[in-house]
Amino acid sequence: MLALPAAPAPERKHSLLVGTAFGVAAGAAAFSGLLGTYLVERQQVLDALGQAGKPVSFLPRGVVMPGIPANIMLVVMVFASVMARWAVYALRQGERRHTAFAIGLTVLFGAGALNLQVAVYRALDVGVRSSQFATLFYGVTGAFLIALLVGMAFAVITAFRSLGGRYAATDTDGVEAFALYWHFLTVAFAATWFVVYVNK
Amino acid sequence: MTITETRPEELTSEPGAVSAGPGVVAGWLTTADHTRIGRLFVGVSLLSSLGVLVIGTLLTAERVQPGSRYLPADTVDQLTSLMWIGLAFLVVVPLLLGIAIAVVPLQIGARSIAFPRAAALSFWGWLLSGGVLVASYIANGGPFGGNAEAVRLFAVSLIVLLAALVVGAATVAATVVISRAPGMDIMDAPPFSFAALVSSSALVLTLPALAGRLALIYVDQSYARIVFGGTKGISGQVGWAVLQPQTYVYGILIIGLMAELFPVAARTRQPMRGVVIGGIGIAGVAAVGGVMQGMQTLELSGVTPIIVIGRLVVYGITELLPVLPFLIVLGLGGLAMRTGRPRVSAPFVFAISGALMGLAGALTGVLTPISELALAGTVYQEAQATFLFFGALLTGMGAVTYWGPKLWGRMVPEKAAGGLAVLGLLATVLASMPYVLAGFLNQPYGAVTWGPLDGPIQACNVLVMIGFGLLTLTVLAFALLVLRAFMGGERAGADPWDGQTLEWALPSPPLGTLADPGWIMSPEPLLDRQAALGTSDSTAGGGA
Repeated sequence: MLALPAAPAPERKHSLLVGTAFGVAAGAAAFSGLLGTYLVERQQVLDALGQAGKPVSFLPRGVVMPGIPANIMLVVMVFASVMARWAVYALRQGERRHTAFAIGLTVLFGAGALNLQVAVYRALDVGVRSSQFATLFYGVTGAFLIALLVGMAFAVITAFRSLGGRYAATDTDGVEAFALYWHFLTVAFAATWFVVYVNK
Repeated sequence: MTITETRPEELTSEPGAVSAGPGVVAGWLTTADHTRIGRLFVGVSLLSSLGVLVIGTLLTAERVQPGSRYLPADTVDQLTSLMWIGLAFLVVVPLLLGIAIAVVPLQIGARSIAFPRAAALSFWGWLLSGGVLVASYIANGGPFGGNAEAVRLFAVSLIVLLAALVVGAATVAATVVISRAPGMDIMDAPPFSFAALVSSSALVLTLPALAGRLALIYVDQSYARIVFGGTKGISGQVGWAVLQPQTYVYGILIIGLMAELFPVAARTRQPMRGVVIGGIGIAGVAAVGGVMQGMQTLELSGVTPIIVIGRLVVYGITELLPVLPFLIVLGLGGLAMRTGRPRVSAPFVFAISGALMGLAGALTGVLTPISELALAGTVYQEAQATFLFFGALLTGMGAVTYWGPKLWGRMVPEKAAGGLAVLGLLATVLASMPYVLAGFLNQPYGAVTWGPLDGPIQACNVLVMIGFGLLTLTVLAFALLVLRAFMGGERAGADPWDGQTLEWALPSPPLGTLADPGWIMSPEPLLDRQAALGTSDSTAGGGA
């Protein structure tokens, strides 16, 4: 019996990936606003201190920025980003178990970053009311923590969907979107690290 | 092109209506239909505009005579803040966003908007947070507020409101990116849809920056209140969102509607269409670039030539570039009118009024940064913002008139709408132009009482008050006109305007979607169809 050739597969729309891209753009703009405000207010404080002839430092006297946990946190975020990319690579190779493993490691690194942020808070040991620096520091890093928690939730959902067979080597959009979000988190933290922890 | 129509038994009298299952109210509450979501945005933002314009009229009346106060003195600053924030985020942005949500999928041959539930979430999030925002002002919050909890409520509600608008903008942008009909290149997208993509992307890139700043304000207000100068300092932190150059972001769709309607009014293809699309793109670049730079002060004395060149380049990008898209669209639109067979319709009058006011806003912005003129901090900046906001409002009313047939299935009476468009133009000129003069006379921005109030300054303030009042009446009359027309006015044909884009191939209101729009060969598929059929019958439509 003759049969007509199969119709061409409908073109995939990449909806989730495009939607995540716009979400990431919005997130990047939000962090630009946060860090821009931090820098502007910091400069105003430094200018005022300079004009008053006082020591020019945004950090209150006696406060030392805990550099080591912050630096480790940056490395951890880079690893998390690499793991997210590995998840995409593994899915393209048809290695579903490796994909789930990579996503799991991403969540683990995310939890590590969360733990390190708490370590920074404990080492810094300043109250949010104590100074302009403290208010802005907790505002910026708190916003990053929220973004990190969203990323971990995104990763868990992606892991379950991946294990449920939702994605395949020919349909990697969901995992690509997850990876894109974690790349954004890493870049956002790198910017935060430079502005808040290095530049102080 | 073929049309997939919903079965008659599944239809009620309105597009997207739900006949079985949930009732009418539940149907509206749970709808994910993009035309309904768009109509909800349009309806509520038009209602909001009345409230905001009444506040504006009262505030401008306060400026006419010192001592003759209509409003409690301690609320004037808060009401001024509410008026500007309301104009931006309760009126102009949601009005134009709603039109884009309703119209863009129809224009590009998409089955629906991308992420329809997110679009619904955008509306309900905006509505609820907008209500809370107004409530926070009533509870003595907002900038200059005296109630700490209400001030924090203001920050949170504005963050949620901005997030809702960003979600809505992202759905529009994603729709244009991923849901265009087969063959429709991004450069072949209708000008309004292309402008919606540019405008939505600009909103996505700028509004979260404001949300981020508000998050820090919230933290500061919740604890030490030492960073931003208390509640008075909040105004300075969020004020940029209602001033040049951020207002250009809100005005991109002014250019989009104008570019859409010029060839329709001229009944010909748009000459040099690529340049028009490029002009819309430039509007996006100029708007976002300007916001990133902030308003620059052009100070050229006492610096080296290299620095002079650098400052002139930045000034050119942030202040001169926004003028260019308006000139391109108006100039090439004029060329289309010369080569075509012009027919001036009410939507066209609205659109050109909006575009002229947008151009006036962009032109006034050219002078603001020049430090020798000392216009920054005067009502000159209010004039510029008013030109753009009211121009966008006129554009929104033009879009409602133009796409009314597709959204409600009815025609807005043309003569009445055209008259209101002219009245709206006059009102906008009166509400803005006198402040250009008063700015040169150093009337300060936002203040209701200052210095001597006589002579030309008093005349300027009287004219501005008349302008605000007149626009309030215009919007009220337009809302009533539209309500009456859409409840029981003249039924619209499929293509009452000789449209050139895909939505006019659908019946009015559209009973479904273009299931197979075919391979789109050009930016004007309906003109292609007419050429193929050898007809220019304006009522042709309803599928081919």
